Amino acid sequence: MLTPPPSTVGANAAALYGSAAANGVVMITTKKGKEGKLDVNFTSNVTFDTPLLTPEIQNRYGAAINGTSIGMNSWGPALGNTNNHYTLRSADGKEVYLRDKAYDDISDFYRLGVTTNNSISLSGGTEKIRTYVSYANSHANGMIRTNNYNRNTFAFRQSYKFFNRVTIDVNANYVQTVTRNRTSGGFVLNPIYDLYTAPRNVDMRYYKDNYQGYGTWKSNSQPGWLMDPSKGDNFVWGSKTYQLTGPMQQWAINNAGNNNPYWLMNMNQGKDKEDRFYGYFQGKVDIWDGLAFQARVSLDHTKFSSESHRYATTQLPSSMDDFGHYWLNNQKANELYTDYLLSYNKTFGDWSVSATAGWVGHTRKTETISTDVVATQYDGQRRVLADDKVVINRFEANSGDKGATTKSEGSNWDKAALVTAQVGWKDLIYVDGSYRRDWYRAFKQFAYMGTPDNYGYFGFGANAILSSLFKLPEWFNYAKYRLSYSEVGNSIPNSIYNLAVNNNVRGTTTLSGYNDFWPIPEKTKSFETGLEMQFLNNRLNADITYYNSAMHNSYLEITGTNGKVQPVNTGVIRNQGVELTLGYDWKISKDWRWKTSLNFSFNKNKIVETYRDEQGNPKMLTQSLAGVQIRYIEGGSYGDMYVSDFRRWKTDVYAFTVTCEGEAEPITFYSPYPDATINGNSLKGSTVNEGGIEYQIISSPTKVHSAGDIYVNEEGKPTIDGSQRYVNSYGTLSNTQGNPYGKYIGNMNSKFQLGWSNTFYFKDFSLYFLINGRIGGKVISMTEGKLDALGQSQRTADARMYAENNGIYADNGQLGMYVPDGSGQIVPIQTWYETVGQNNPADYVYNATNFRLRELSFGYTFRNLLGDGKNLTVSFIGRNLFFIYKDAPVDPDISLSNGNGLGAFEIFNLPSARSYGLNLKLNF
Amino acid sequence: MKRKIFFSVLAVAATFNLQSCMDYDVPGAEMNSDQQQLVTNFQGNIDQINYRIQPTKENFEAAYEELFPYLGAGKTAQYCLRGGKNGDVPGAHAYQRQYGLGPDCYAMYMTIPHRDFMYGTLTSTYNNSNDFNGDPRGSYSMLKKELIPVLNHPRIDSIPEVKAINLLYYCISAQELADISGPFTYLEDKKNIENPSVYNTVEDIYKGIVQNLDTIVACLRYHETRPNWYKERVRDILMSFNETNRDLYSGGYTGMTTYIKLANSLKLRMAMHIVKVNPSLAQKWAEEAVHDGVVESIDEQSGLFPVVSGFSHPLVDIIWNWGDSRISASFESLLMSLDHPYTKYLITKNSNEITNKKTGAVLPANKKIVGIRSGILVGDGQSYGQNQRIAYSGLDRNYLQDAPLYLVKFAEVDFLRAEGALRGWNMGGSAQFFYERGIRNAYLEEPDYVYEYKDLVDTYMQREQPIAYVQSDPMGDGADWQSVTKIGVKWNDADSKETKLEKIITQKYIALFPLSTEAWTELRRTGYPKCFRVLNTSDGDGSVRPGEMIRRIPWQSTDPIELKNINETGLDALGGPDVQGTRLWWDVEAPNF
Repeated sequence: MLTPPPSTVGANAAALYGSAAANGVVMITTKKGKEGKLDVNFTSNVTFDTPLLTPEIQNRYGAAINGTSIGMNSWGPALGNTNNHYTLRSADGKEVYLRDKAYDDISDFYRLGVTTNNSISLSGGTEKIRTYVSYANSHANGMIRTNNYNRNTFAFRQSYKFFNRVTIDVNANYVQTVTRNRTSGGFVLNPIYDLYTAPRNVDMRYYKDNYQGYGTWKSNSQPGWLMDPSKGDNFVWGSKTYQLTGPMQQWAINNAGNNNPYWLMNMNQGKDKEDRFYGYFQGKVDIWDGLAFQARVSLDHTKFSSESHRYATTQLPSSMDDFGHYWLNNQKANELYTDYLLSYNKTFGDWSVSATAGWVGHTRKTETISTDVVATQYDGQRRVLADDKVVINRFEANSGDKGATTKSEGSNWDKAALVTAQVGWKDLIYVDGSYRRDWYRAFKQFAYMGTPDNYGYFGFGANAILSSLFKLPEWFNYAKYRLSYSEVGNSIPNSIYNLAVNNNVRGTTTLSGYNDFWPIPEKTKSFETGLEMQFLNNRLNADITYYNSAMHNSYLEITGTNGKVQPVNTGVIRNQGVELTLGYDWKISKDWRWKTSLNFSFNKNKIVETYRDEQGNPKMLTQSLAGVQIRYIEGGSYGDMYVSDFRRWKTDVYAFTVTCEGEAEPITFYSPYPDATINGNSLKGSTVNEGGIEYQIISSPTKVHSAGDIYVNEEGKPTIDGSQRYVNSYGTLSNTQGNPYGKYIGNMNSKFQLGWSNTFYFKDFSLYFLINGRIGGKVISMTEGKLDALGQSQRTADARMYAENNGIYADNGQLGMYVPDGSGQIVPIQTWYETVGQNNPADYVYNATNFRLRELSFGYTFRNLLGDGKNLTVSFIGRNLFFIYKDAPVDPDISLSNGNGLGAFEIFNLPSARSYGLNLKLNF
Repeated sequence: MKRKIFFSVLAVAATFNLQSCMDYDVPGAEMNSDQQQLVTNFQGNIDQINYRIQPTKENFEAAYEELFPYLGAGKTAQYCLRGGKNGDVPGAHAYQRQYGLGPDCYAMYMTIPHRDFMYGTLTSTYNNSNDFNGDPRGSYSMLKKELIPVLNHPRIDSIPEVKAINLLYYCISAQELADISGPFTYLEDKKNIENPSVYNTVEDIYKGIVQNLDTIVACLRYHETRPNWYKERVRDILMSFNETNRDLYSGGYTGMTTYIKLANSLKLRMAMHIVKVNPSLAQKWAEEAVHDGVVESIDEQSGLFPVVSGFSHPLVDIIWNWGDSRISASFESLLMSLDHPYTKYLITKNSNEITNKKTGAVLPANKKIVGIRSGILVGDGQSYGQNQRIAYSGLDRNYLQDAPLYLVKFAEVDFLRAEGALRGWNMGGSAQFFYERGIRNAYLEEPDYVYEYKDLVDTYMQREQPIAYVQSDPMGDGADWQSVTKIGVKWNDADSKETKLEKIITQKYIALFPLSTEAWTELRRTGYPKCFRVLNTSDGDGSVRPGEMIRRIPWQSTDPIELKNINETGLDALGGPDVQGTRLWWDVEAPNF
């Protein structure tokens, strides 16, 4: 589901750009050359990056040692804190290198990131021909050692004027990017995950230098034809385990899913290369008396290739990679736009009229060829090979099985016809309107149902310069009022909904997993109004905007109750808000000047209408991620998050024990009341005759639980399913039905965003800083949860130290902690955090409210250094320098995936960077 | 001036040629040769098979041409029955989801030696987790997606045999689903309704399935009377699109035989399930099925055969590459008490040293068969270095990898007939006859590769008293347990009815191994074989008391639309709360006789 943009586009822009506007596409316009002189601009900067925030990992406890291996967590005994290093050796030669004192491994792992940007541009021209050329290079070494990035950009633009009525514009850009070893987050094959979760007594310094050994290992069993003498002298389909030799990962833990972070970083490498050419050719003709025609064709051609490999002995989530793996991808994308615009501009006295009619065509075709192979060579007849003939780590496209290269194509297009008109009066008041008709490719496949493939949208707007229309006080210099309404459409995804796939080798067909639906395009209806004002000789400026934007018919895929995917176009989601900008420019004295600007925005989101079924009943829709459920309920907000609560005691519970003939052990009965009785008799020592059986009451009712206490079982483990435990009519204990995701914990989006920027000028010095932040919203850190579950976090170490110092032990003898419900129950720390860290995301959802010093720059301009008007500006810059206020242990602006618009989930991401550096700008 | 205007307009017109480089294609143009667009929302009448119609050649070919793209979906569904997905043969991923994480453990065949999975944790056998509860129902969902459109296709009625056989596969899956969790939206599913909401009772589902089975058998028997050209066309279709019998392996087309026997054997199986809740109906179904003809030889068995379809039994990967499954202590104790042939060749001994945490005693590698007690709280680690439980007993891959994944096994049918004879029904033979024949054919291996079992089975069948086996955990986790198997193998007419039943069901349980859904059903129904109690039942949802066993897999849905349906019709159909302890319709708490 798309995140509706809080701010909107004006009516005319919406008509011209259509759904590209709804999706927030950035339109890049290259500068035009200036007439007359040759201008040269040169900028250069270098910045250094360090991690802004890393998790707090304890250095006190390590993994338990089981003979010749260690546990996979840090719930073992405390480290001795001596400088000893020692090795465990197992009978089959596996070694584990340990240390007795833990260090900060994180700062050893990340390096200082360096980014440089250099660019030069030339522009100039005559009245007839104007040119602009630029080249830029950007190079970055990431904070992870093997990650770097290089980009070269060339831009060229030239415009020609003929006969005083024809303008030709040519624009060409070429961008080449090479990225090596891009990192993402997550639990799988992520060096950051293994770095943060390595038990504290693992000797990280040893494994940093010795991540690779050379040795022999046993593969998993591999199928193939083999000679089996017990089955005659024939080849039989069987399997074999190979003894393989080669570069071997060295790590303290030999288990699926656990890797040496330095092995992952250094051995499993990937390179991405992107070549992109884009540009356009545009011609404009002034036909006659205000009538002009413009035609343009633009092309965007991208070639993307990536190659990566993974070495044998890397541990995958369920088993070890035996032979290694190799990927090779090549993708080409061609995007073509043609548009024609016929426009008319004329002034009649006080009135001006302008109108445009146009046609836009757009196609995009992609072709992807990808190879995904096991890095070995199989026998042609798939016979099992002798151990010494087996090839591993063969990173070539013709490795592995036949048919490992696949080619797929993609195609999409859209067309639009549009018309806009604007009327102005005395250059003071303008009113405009527009209409656009879109054609979408995805709708064509529903033609047999009678679904149309084109849809219309309209918009209107007006603005007026109030300060010229009315007499305003002298200090009120300028006021402009604007309002606009626009509609923008967006197609449903360009999937083939009735796609069936054949597997020709097996002779099987897999049918489509989609249910039927009647598709409608998404439509965003936005209304915006605002007032721009300037006061006090244009020193104070203010802009206030109110917007109200509603997205109708959002495309969503829910799961039908028949298990197939049910696409729906449904609902109305409204975003309303206010944006305010205030700026003040104060020339204090000849040498001093202060410019300040304040940005404030408030956004309120409401799900006005949600999915309704055939009977018109509103249904709640949900999306689950990381144990949190996002619910779309009518009346709620987009991004409302729900989790399951602990199983708690429903009422106070009193227990008393009885013995009775025939039962060897005493029986415990429960009651919600303190005066529970069997047959009216609850005093200790009483004998009661109930139903012919004699019960001897041996203890009076004592309170064992209070209502609302968290339930833990005999092991001290809580259950997190929202159910309640209560005393049933038999006097024993039962659980109510679970209530999964029954507890609301907040909305993931912030309502308020603020920014404050200041620039101070003193002669040729300038100091600039920007503070910004937001209020509200949530960030979920699965990293913190996992670190708690493994005993890696400082939090768990603090709990253990507190228990040691205060003698708190659980029933099983382990270090204990009080259950955080005030009941006084003591549970083993390890059991508690293992359960809660894995299953209770409520503990790891934090407020995203934060303010930080986002940008700082201090510079000096050498005026007229190389001649008149040719300046050199040198500045020191810093970004993301520190937090002024923050509630979460992680950076709330981090986001793992934006694909579904679900905000901040942090799962072992690369930390956000604090950067500082130097910037140079020269123009001559 | 005019010239300039004219020139401008000409320039304008010239640019319209640009449109020729735009290609506005239709959705589907980008598909490759493996992809096509196939509609799936047909609504026909599944239950009705008009097999008496006489097709003409033209009708047949026209229908065949329209049906042809969909016939491959039938094969996808066949693979789905036993752990296949996405049109591929049974593989470890889907098999584990369908059997490995739930039913294999509930049937007390296997135990999972560790708890960390990528998509959730399973701390013990009865641990109730939403991450895994839905998986055993997944096979039915996948199969339904493929078969229901085919069965509702407007032209399917022109080839009634194909409809009947595909309906048979649907019946098998529906029956297995009904026994796993109970009610589901059976009637609406069959009508291809996109968002079904009404749950049907297990009783209605059983009766509906048996009605379909009767129709199927009638249709397939009528096939005999068809003209030769028709029979040849049907033969072509079945040899291309059906892999649930051994025709492709043994080289001979056996016609409708295996399918008729499969349908009747399924009916016999379902009859025995309901013997406590509706004894007269059970007897009627059983006698009708046997009278019409059930599986009576190895070649009449149906299933997915590695030697036919070319794959390895998924448990090989699950046990040896992933370390996700090991023999349970209960099964170990049963086999060792009876000195079963499997203990001599199939079950592997401990693959590595196992150290007792409490006493320090070390069990050397490859010394004895050791199983993991069901319900034990397992730790992390999928490799021996981290977790000693990985060294416990598994299954020898040389015998396992070609083992068939049966839909119906000859031995199972014989044991059903033995029980029927025990109950005084007309099963075409005595209980002892079927019992003994059943044991002879109970082996797990591919029938062409059976050697050790045949040598050892005679001695096995002579055993009158069980060995007083003691199951002890080499890691010292808990006290030693005495075997609960108090019966022998040899048939003794002087035994009580209850003991005879225990013998029959115990041997059937061993014969069904490793396919756990039916074994779990019979364990719930009869209480046999006697198994160790499951530890830590409170690790589940709390509805199973210590000493009891799990009765179904709960729905525990978190989807609000599904929850609404469950609350409106599901709970009524189930007749109890949605927990592990709620008994299904046929699972009556009553004695066996």
